[in-house]
Amino acid sequence: MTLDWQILLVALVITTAGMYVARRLFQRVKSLTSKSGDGSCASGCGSCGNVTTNKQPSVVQITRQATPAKRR
Amino acid sequence: MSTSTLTPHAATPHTAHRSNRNPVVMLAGNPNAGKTSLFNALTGLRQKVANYPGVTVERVEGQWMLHASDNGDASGFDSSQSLSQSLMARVIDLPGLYSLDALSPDEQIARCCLAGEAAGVPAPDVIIAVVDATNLERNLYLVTQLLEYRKPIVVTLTMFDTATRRKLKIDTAQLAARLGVPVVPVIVSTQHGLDELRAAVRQELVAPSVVESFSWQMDDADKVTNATLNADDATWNAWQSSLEARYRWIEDVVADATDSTTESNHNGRGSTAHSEINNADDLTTRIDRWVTHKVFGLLIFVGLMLLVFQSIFAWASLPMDLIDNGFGALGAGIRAALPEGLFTDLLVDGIIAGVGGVLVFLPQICLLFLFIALLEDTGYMARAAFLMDRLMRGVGLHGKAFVPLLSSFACAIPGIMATRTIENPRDRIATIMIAPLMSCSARLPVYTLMIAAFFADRRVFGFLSLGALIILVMYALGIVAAIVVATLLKRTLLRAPTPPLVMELPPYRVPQLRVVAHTVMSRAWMFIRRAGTVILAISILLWGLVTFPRTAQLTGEQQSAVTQSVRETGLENGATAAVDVAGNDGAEANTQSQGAQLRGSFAGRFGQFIEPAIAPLGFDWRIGIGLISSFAAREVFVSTMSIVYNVGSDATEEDTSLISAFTDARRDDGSPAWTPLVAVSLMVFFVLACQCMSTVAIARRETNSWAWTLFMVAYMLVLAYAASFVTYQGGRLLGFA
Repeated sequence: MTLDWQILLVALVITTAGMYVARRLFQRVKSLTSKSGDGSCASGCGSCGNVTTNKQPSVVQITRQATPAKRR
Repeated sequence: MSTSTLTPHAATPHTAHRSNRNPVVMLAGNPNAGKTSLFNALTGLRQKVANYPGVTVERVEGQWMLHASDNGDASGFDSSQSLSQSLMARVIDLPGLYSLDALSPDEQIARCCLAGEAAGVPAPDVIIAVVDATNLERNLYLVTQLLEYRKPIVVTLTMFDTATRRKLKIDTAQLAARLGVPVVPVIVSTQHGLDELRAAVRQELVAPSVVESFSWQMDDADKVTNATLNADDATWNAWQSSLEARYRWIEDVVADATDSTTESNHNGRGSTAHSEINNADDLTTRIDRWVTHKVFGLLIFVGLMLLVFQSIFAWASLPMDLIDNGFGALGAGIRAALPEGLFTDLLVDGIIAGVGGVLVFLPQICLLFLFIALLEDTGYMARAAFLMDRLMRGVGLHGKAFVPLLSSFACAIPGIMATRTIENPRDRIATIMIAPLMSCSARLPVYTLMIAAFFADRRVFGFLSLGALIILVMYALGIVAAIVVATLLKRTLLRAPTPPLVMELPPYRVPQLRVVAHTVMSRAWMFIRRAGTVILAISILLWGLVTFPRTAQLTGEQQSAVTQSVRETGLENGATAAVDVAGNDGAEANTQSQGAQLRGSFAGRFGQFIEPAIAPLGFDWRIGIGLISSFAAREVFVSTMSIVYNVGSDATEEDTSLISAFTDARRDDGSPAWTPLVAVSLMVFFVLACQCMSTVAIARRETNSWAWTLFMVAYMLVLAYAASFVTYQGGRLLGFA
């Protein structure tokens, strides 16, 4: 097989495609190994997937004291 | 009952203004109150909206230009005093919540943001309390809780046109006076009221109006603050009294703010907007009588699904043919224009055959999402969830699980994210585990290809397409498998009591053309983008894997494999013989040569390596190549088949090239590689196997557990293999092979 322009182009295209797929794969694996909550949703509150039912009574929500979440 | 007091907050410097950062405006309100529609109108973004609660499950952010309107500021606010003319606000759309008693993850996200505890997001400078004008009483409960944050609040009445149409008159000035905060009615579809809303928010940024005392609170409310529900009866009673006082106050406000003539029709003061709406919703009630009926409702649901699939097949065929012919002509044109060589082969056999093979299904994808958007926007989806609650509860799942499962029919990723509406972690994990079993849109091209190849133009009962029926069965198979898995999980690893379903059934409405069109367009674009990126790249790589090593480069063992392959077909001189044979023999020899090339290629050798494992399912090594590649993305199976069967070289032929390649394909023993039974076995495998990396990633994030993620992948693969095995071997025993 002679090394003509078509072979060179094919090599270039396949290499580019391979790099693109590898990059996507790397990003996916990276996201899989990220810690809880990192980028899991836009909120960044870090509690996604680790939700526990609110044990606090509903009553704390209706008081005039501010920031009810701090009492969790 | 006394009213709340309105106290200008001029003494407190505004935080955003002080720190020179952009002010943060958060949209908070009940589910399905129209927050996302308003967010889209303010920011120009296009977040998904639908007519059922729980669409938004995460924080979404956009920018909103707070400039004064051309017609002057409705509130009389002099913007030159404190804010520049082009002040840009960060607008944050939050998941809906009925109260601040956040139980589910989506509600916790909303509360987290409102309390200023979310990472990267400061506490809101202004909260826009989005209130559904047709359901004031229920929506105001959250408003009373928001007022207690002592943040500047602007109440926005959405769906004001619907309220007006229902002759529900709301005195916004009176409502504002009672609440102690500005009240702005808006009609998002016509952009009416957005300038007034902008002016009100600007006003609040400069001179916030903060309610200082709350008349619904009882004197001993502070004592209740740190109480617990299992405390003594006195505390419980105090809390209950406080709650009742709040509701009494809301009823009082609603009665004051709604038109008196409206009230007089409904037994006076005690009657509220709620009863007014109930009467106005006769049509919804009449439709629901049938649609939510436990027998007729299910029949209507199945009938609707069948109609959807039938329409997908009937309406999509013409545009699909056009696209297919277009790619065929493109391939032929390129082959004619370029000199023979590897790059030409890559363009025609790799890129055009691979990407075109997938893009041909674009019309079906568009139709599928058109129907999904129509069902969502009319409000039918919520009814479907209600219908399925009985079934869900039967297997121990929460009724809310059905909405995520319905979402998974489009794509498992938003479906898994939608499980955030489920409060109980065990119910949530169980739902995540079964969500990928729902047939997503990526499976549709595979089903369609198999049906087009082996079950096309066949009818059942004379009018029903067999293809539509098979697709319905495949969707049903996913649902049945999900039910079985959920039953097992909920009775073993995830045992937990199932709470009753309380779900809002929104009134039916005519679908908004803009919303439906946006849903279809965005999904179509997503599909095209996917075809132009991941599928394109994988098609190129696959072409490389089936093209190399070249036949001439084969040595030793590889050459013997090729020779053996060719000898089987009577061509003793190996692959080179192909070029020496003229006429029909030459064409046949060329095909044999291509077969030998494929067999000796990297992909071919890998396919043969895994063939013993997949042979019991009826799959040969070429299908094996497609199966492996489909783990990158399910649609890649179609492009892989196009490349493996070298469809590009036949691009000038009719559009059935891949289908005819299937029917012509032979195993080593000369038997057909593809039969209807193999096609069904393959579809069953695709229904049940977890072949989507993105789904695995989102499951890992949402469960926060590697164990559950790996469990999901493993059980789905085992289930897919077993079901496919039973289908193929059982079919053979019954004589279908």
